[in-house]
Amino acid sequence: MMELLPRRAPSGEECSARLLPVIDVRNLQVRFPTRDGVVTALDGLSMQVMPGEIVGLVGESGCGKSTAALSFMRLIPQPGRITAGEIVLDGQDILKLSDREMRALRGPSVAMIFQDALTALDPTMPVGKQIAEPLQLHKGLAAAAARARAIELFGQVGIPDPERRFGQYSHQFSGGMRQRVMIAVALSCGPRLLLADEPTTALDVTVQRQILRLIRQLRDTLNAGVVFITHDVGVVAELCTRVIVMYAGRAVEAGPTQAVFTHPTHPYTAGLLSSTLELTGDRSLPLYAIPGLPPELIDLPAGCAFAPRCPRADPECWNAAPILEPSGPQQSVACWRWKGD
Amino acid sequence: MLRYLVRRILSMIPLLIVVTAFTFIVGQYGAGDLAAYLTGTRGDPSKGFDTELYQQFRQELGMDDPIYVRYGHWLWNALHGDLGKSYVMMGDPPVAYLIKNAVPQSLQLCLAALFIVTIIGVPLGIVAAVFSNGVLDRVFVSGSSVLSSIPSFVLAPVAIIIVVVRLHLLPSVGVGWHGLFAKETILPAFCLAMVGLLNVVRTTRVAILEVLSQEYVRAARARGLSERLVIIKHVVRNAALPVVTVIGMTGAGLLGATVFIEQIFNIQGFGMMVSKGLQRGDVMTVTGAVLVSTVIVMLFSLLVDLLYGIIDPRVRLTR
Amino acid sequence: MDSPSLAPTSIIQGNGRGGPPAGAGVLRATKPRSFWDDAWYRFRHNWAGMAGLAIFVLLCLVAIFAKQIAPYGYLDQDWTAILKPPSATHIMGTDDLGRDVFSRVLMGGRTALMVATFISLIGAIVGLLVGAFSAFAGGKVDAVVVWIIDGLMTFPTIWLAAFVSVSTAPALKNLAASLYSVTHWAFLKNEVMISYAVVVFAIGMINWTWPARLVRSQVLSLREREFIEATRALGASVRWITMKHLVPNVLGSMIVLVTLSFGNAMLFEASLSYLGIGIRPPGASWGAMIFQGMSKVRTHPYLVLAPGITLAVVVLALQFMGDALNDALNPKSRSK
Ligand SMILES: Nc1ncnc2c1ncn2[C@@H]1O[C@H](COP(=O)(O)OP(=O)(O)O)[C@@H](O)[C@H]1O
Ligand code: SF4
Ligand SMILES: [Mg+2]
Repeated sequence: MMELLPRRAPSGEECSARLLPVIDVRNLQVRFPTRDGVVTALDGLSMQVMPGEIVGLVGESGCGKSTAALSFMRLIPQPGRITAGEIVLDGQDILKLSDREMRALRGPSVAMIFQDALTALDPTMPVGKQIAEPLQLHKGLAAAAARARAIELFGQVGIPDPERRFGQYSHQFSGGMRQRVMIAVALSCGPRLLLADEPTTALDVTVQRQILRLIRQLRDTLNAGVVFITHDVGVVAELCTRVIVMYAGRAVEAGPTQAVFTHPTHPYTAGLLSSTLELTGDRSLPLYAIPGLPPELIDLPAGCAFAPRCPRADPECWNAAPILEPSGPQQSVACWRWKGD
Repeated sequence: MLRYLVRRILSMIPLLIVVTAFTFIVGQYGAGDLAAYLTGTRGDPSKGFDTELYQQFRQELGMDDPIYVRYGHWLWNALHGDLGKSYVMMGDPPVAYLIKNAVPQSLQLCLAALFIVTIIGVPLGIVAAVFSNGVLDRVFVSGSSVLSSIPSFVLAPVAIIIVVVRLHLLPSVGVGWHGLFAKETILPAFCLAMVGLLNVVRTTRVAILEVLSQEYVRAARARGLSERLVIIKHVVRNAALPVVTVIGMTGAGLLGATVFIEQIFNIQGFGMMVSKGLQRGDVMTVTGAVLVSTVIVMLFSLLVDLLYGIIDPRVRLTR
Repeated sequence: MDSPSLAPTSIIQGNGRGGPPAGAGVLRATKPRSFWDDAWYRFRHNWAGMAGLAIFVLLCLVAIFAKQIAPYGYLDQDWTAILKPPSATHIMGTDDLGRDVFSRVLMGGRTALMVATFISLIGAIVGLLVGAFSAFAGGKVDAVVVWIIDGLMTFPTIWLAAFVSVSTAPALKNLAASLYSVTHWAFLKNEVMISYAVVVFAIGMINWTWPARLVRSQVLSLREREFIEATRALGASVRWITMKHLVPNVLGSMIVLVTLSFGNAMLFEASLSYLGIGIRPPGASWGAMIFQGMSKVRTHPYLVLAPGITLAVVVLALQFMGDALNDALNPKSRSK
């Protein structure tokens, strides 16, 4: 269905880079000072993504997934700030770079696929130009060469009739095609790390499958690391090698998808999984449902953020926040009581 | 597009009819008995009130017809370029002639002012938005707030006192129209421009802020574009629609403000004609002026519509 | 920003034990602050708005006590002091009839305030009625009203006001005269009083459009809301419910609108008087004073500057106050 990207012969440098993560995040904290207080959107997030790996980031809306992705590009919206931690992207500590140096990485080193391509594409500029833009900027291509390359990319992401489509505007595309355009924009400079922020949430199921297949193929050809953000547990199970479950700005469980999903050790992960089973109609498992919302990220209580909703919480949980600790060979969990009563 | 334009123009006709009918009818009733006025001023005073002459004037003015017939007449004639006569002025000059002589000056003045308010207001609005809530933002917005809130009949004399009388920066004003590019035009155009400054600055600021919060701006940054490029290539064009609209509407507002500016700078334009007409109770002139100004305002909004199509592909392609 | 989450908001059943221990401080009680407290807090911290408010209060005091504050009668002519520049005895100088400019500026303030009060009251009331009527009538009636409002708003408003003022003045004068023949109230023969009425009428005719728009859109959106449905289920009529909920909902925007229209009305009054079709002499009006001073602006600038700067300051004060009120009462409308 799709012509694959030419696979480059890996250079020696790249071979050794293969063993290094494309992104290495340590203890990341992001805060938004607001009128009502300081929102701690991310607290102590650590994660690595290896080349060719797809890491899932799951959690309810508002738990800080997008904030994480944006901080990897240093694009936290005002008035947000990275207040602690370290982000090493492709070997460079991006928190120490100048604005200009950081801009040079956006595109070639890290690129993002946004949730809603309709809002993420400039409605007043032909889509082709938006693909050509980073090519001219980062690769120094002339307008004509950029155009040729953009049309080529269109073909690669499976957009029929790329020549004609090049000059059209985003509102002239269907939802699925638009998301392909978005992906082509993200791919244009061959990024080492691809951040996909809920790229399929706005699409219907068949189109969703196609886009997922496309992302997997691109991962294979580019050998890029992918951070795949979603709140759809099913998609994670299908696509991701590893998964990080987030709650209230913190990673509460992490590990290989297989392990985490078969033996969830955090009560929240378990709840997430069972609620998905509920949606898929598997009624063999007990169902849980109570009113309850993720906490406001202002003045979080001292203890475990999940305690107010947790079926296993006991008084100890309210006193101190659990930290991530190993719960299996490669699995880790932030819960005082993961071993059970 | 053409069909759309034609539809737009056709849809303006009812408004034009209502506005002119309103002014015509209110004017005819409000002005009192024009025939009596004419009999009083034109007749032989020694004869007392000359009923014969009065009847003659009534006939001539068609005042025995019902009001809608008279309005119909007036409108029919207006379509043929005849807006009646100004009976108040010496020699009963045709209103159309007065307007034809007055409009070019005022239009040029308004265009000059529109140009000034655009090249000042839009950049100020952009800077205010980019540094929103910063010092520049506050200074620019409150500064233009001050300049726009001062009525032009206060701003203009103050400007004259400072710029002309004290500093001698510009030549003395007060002797008519010198042409669009004359030094004498700078001050009146500037004072006129200030009327719309706040609107333009605010609208630009809000529009830019709105666009800056859009996802495609974030996406453009994520492609590695610098802030400057993001603004030039993506923000300005997207923010242009409301700005173009407000500039078009400002055009109408400026036309209104010419009544003050032209009087103060002694420019024999449309505004001067209207203000004199109002003071003298010259109903025919004012009614004619209302018709013409409504047409001008409508042309402005049509122009804005056309610009919309050029700026926004969604508009262009769906029409 | 995020689309509705697939993951349900509520996932997990609590186990009913292990609640927060006493004093864990999870739900630290914050004192609830009312909307109006908040708004006042925001307004108080806006120095431009507070300055505007102070000037406005000062204007009101001056207008009420104009006669007591004024050092001279505003009509008193002093033939020994004609066109005298500002000095200790006449702090704003005297005009060509030897009248004290300061005293006249004070009286002009009274005129401006009085006229503007009437105009903005009329604007708010007419706007409320027209807007609510239009929204409730719906259909063709609504379309026509909206069309008229739009039409009025595209037109240079000052011309319209001027035109209405010129052409209704004789009619109003006749009306006053015939009323006088019945009632014999002296003010009906007072030309100045009649000119007040003309100005109020002319500006009132066009100043209702903004409030009408606001009220109309509010009524329309209120009708959509579910609490209306809920109350209707209890048997109340839609009209009654909307009216009951409308006032609190519109109040914030209405206060802003009235403040801004107050400044607007002052500006209009001054403009009409400046054009010679507003307040008749010997009534004191800033606009008329500016016009009279204009012919001598090069030699006696204070004649224009005294009323001109006063007018500008007052209009600005109202503008700043309106902006601050808007930020305070509609915090969401404030862009970032
Ligand atoms: N611009 C901002 N200002 C203040 N708080 C913000 C801002 N953006 C995000 N947040 C906070 O950060 C938290 C995480 O948001 P986000 O990363 O968008 O969550 P997700 O993508 O997981 O739905 C939210 O709960 C929100 O309170
Ligand atoms: S630490 Fe306690 S409250 Fe938190 S998830 Fe584990 S059991 Fe539940
Ligand atoms: Mg998100």
